[in-house]
Amino acid sequence: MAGCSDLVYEPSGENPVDPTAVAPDLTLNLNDTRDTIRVWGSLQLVYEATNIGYPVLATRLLIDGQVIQETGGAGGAVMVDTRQFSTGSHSIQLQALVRSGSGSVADAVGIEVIPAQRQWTLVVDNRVPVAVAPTVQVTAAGAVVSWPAYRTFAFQGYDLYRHPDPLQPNQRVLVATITDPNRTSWTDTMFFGPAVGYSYAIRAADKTATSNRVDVSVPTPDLIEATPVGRGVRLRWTRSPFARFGRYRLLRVSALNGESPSIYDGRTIAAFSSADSTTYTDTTQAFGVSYRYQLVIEATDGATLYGATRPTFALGQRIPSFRYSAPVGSQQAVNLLSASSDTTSRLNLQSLTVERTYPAFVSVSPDGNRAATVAPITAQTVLVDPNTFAPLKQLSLRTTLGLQPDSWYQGAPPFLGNEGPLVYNELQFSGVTVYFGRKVAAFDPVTDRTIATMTTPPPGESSVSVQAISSSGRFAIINRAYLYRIDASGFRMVQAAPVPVDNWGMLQFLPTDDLLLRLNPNRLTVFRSEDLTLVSDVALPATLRELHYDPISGLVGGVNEAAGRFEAYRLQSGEQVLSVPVAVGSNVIYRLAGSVLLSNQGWALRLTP
Amino acid sequence: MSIRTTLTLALAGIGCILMASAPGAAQTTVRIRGSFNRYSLRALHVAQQRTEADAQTAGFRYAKAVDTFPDHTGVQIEALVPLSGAVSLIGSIGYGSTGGRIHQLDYSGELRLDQRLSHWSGSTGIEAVPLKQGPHSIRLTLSLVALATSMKDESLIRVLDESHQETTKLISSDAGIEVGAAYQISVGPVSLNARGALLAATGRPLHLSDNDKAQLYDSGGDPVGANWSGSRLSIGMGYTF
Repeated sequence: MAGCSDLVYEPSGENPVDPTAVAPDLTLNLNDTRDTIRVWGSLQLVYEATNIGYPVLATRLLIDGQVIQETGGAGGAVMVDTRQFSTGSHSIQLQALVRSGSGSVADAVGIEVIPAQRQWTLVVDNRVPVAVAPTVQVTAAGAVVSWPAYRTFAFQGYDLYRHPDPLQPNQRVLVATITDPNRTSWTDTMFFGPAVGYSYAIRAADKTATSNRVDVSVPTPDLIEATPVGRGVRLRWTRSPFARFGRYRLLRVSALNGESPSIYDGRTIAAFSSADSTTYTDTTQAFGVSYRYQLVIEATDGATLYGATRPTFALGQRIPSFRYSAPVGSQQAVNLLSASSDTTSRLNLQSLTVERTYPAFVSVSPDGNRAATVAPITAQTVLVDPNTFAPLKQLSLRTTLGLQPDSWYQGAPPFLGNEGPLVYNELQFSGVTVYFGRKVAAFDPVTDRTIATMTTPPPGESSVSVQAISSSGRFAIINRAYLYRIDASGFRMVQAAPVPVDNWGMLQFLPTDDLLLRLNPNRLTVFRSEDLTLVSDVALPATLRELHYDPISGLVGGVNEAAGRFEAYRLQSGEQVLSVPVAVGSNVIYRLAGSVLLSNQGWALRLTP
Repeated sequence: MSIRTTLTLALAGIGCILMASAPGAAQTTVRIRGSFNRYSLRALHVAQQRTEADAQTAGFRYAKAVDTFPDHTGVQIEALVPLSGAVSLIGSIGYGSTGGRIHQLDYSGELRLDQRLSHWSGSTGIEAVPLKQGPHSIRLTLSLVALATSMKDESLIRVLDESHQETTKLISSDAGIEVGAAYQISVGPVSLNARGALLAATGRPLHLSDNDKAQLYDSGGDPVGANWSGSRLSIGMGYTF
């Protein structure tokens, strides 16, 4: 039967093999190429096990042996806050169960599973970066901000901040972000003074450290000289240090009569696009006008910096009138600049007019020490040649004589050492200044010329204290004894008339009747303005108050507080035409179309004579 | 060789002897022949290659065909009845087998895919003696052959100490024509015969033994049949009654 067994074929042969499992690929999102990974802050761990063509049955992530997450698939993701771990090295393991993929019989039927594991070293470092204060240096290129390089780890960037306003520390603007850790300076080419602050922040390890602010201050370029030179003013200013410099602009505004208008109303008289241009001479001044100058620095983008205003005295400006008294025979210097707070300004005096009320000598000293001109003040005006005049600092005044018989003074003469008041009144009219005293003079403020002078009559014992101005340009001046009529065109006294001494009051001009009306609480005096003829002189109750004249009705009325009545009188005759009771404290409104309107605490009364 | 096959061959031999010794039978010769068979079985080769690839694809990465339907021995029993002169009527019953194996053996288990293929053939034809000189003769045969094919498809998967085995039996029936030439030397009633023959047969698809509609296709979608076309070199011993 053995032969028969050979006759029937039996398959034979074996294929013994030794399969090898395929190693899976285990990956972690942090860094697959290194076994040591530096971490900080919160991070998302994404892990995955892959074995191409073969399923992954489970994965597990462990840190220091503790399971962080376990999944039934090929991987997963989990957020980990590394701050819960101490600074230093920790192990992180990724474990996986995968089909072997060996090709063995067991693998082919799906029951061959192999474990896989990969381990990394986590270096946890949550140290906070420290940003020390930067240094700031202003150069021709701009403000250079420098800081020490951050050399630790996990550098992300430097953030540069500009603090535009030193007074607002919380206001800052991010001006640059630098991602190169080796770069340790940054130039702010947009720096445009005068003061600005800088700080920077280090972003590293998921943290930000901000340095203290460092302020840098650059003086604003400004005028340092505004000197009258000849007929012009020489201006000089400091050079702009800003890289963003665009141009200088010089503003000028006139300051009439000592006023100080805003320099921002000024007009540009010159502009310079070169930062090296630092001088300019203004020769376009008008005579007799003082100016203020201001330097404006403009950046290339239009930003502006304003320097301080720099006033100058006008070429030909009149010295402010002043009074000075000194004992006879003494000699003292009067510092003309003492009245000005600006000690750097210069007084450019073209003419000096001295009103002589007593014999005196005046010397003009350019430097305050040396007398250039010494002359007895017999003339009233001392002229200074503008072409040779140097800045005047002092005016020396020396008195040599005392009172004069024909001088007119009020009170005790000051020259004897008595500091009593000198009567000195002014009448302003259309820019003309009139000095009262022994002489009266009028000046044109533009041309600085004396347009009229006059000598007041011997006043006796009283001073000039009231005035009246007519629409025709005629003046009337009254003192206690006399009424003067003055022609404004020639500024001469035309006529004088005696006035009752006890009749003291307001002088009004009545253009419709061409009358001068003198109202007193206890007297009404009326003059004809043409020739100062006395028209009426009527006694009124001394208790009359608030006397007013109504030109339509020709009445003069007022409240007689003592009688508690409102009373009206005819102008010409002084006849009382109205007397009505009013409450004390009534307010009176006059001249209402010939009527008198009274009001008193809510009611009104119209009176028609 | 199974008992069943042995009994079948024994009965066939007894049948031939009885036919030769029957009254009226003259010059009847019975031969028993052992052969070395070479078969085409092309479809089975292709199917085995595809199965091998499928096994690798399925995860048995190292699965490999270690036995691929090799040439193998067979046996035939013939009976010849002279018709006229040099022409005899010949009838025979034969058996042949071969097989294939895909195998993988590793540390975890074993994969074994065996195919045991066999056939019974019955043929009838004529044998002519164009040349005879003394005890030597040259003989030519032409036969029509009927083939009954049986294939046991046995798969075994063993993992560690657990195994799973499945056996499927498929059958088919085919027909063919065989021509052969033989040299024979006769000494008395005993003759020694050496023959070479070529068989051209159909290769109809195998199907389940209990369901002829369930035909066998390989993974490429091609029907798989056992095409026994091939050659047979055989030596036979005969006895003429």
